[in-house]
Amino acid sequence: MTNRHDGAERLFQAGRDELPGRELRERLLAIELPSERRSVWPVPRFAFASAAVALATTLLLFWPTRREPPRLAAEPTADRSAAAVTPSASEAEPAPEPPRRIAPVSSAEPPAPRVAPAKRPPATLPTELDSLRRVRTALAAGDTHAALDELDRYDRELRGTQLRAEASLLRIEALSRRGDPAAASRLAAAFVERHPHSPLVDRARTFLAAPAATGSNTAEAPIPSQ
Amino acid sequence: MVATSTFGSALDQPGTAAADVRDFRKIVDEHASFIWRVLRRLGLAPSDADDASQQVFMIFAQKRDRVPEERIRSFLYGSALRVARNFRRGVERRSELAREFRHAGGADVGGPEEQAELVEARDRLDRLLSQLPEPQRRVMILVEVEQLEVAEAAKLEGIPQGTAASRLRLARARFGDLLAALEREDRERSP
Repeated sequence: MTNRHDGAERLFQAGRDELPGRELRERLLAIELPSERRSVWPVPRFAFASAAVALATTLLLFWPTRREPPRLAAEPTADRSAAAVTPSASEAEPAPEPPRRIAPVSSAEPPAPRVAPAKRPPATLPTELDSLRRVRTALAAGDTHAALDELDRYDRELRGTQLRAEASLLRIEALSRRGDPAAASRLAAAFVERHPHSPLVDRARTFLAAPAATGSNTAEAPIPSQ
Repeated sequence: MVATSTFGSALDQPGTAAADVRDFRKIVDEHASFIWRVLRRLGLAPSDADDASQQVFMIFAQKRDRVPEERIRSFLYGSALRVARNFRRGVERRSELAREFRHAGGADVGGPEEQAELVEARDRLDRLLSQLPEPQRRVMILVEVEQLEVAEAAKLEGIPQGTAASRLRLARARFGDLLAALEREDRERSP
């Protein structure tokens, strides 16, 4: 009975001792907090000021367009063109062409879009996974160029954050396989320093001042499941 | 705004009050390990527990206005149960790479032998826990692994304290039997 209890306690203790890697905290603290708070915590005054400025800017940008919405060719206008169709004619028989949007009367040319392009949000987890899977496929095929291109895309276009450590390790492997062990070693050293408790750290250590990695190492490059 | 896929640094979010960020950081520091361990003991691999923890805290980030301070832990716990259920449902579909992390998770210290023992102990713990009925398993995790009082476990589970105590009693008995059987097998295997 005592042995059984001790055995159970040993298992429970092992469970208690398990901790998440430090990277998890970074991931959690990177979660974007919705800015629209309503009740519990007070909203600082500058938030109202920012909202007012944003509203004013929006009105300045959109107000003229809203006051003069684009007119249809069939609508009566002050400057009606010869091609415009009168209402009676359009009722009598189908117009030869569907109505087309024309520029606002006050504009000589279609206005350029005034809205700044929306900031692209970072990629979702499935998108990041797909990207890193492409890296791994390229590495497995020996195409380090394509692998590094995809990793660049992961960094710049996807702005991946959730699988950052995995991407770093894949870059180390790609560099090593490309025959650049010095660069791989430098990145590996940085990885070990930055992620000392990562589950991937042991693998990163294998690239420290090491010659080019083996194919099997690459084939096992980690990508966590979704 | 629903931030399901955006991951700018919380500290750099212009529309977010610094106090919000500080509060969120405090909540992460207080509860993240607990939630992660619960997810692990519910059968998720370490990397899945990471992803699931992130989902749990994203849900909380979106709804935190509506969560009173005294209910934060139970909100996170309830979310973790639901997220874990979804993860487990999809576990067969997921790549074998998850298993690669199974033996490498956590932030343990110690030599290789100690690590191996811990990994083995956790595998065994999870195997035994997985054979318990789900409600008993959850109470067992909260009381035996997380060392919560039965009353607190009952609160998190949303059940009467007597029910929690009863589930714990059944779980302990079943767990003990399963462990004894496992140890018997070990003895028979060893020369």
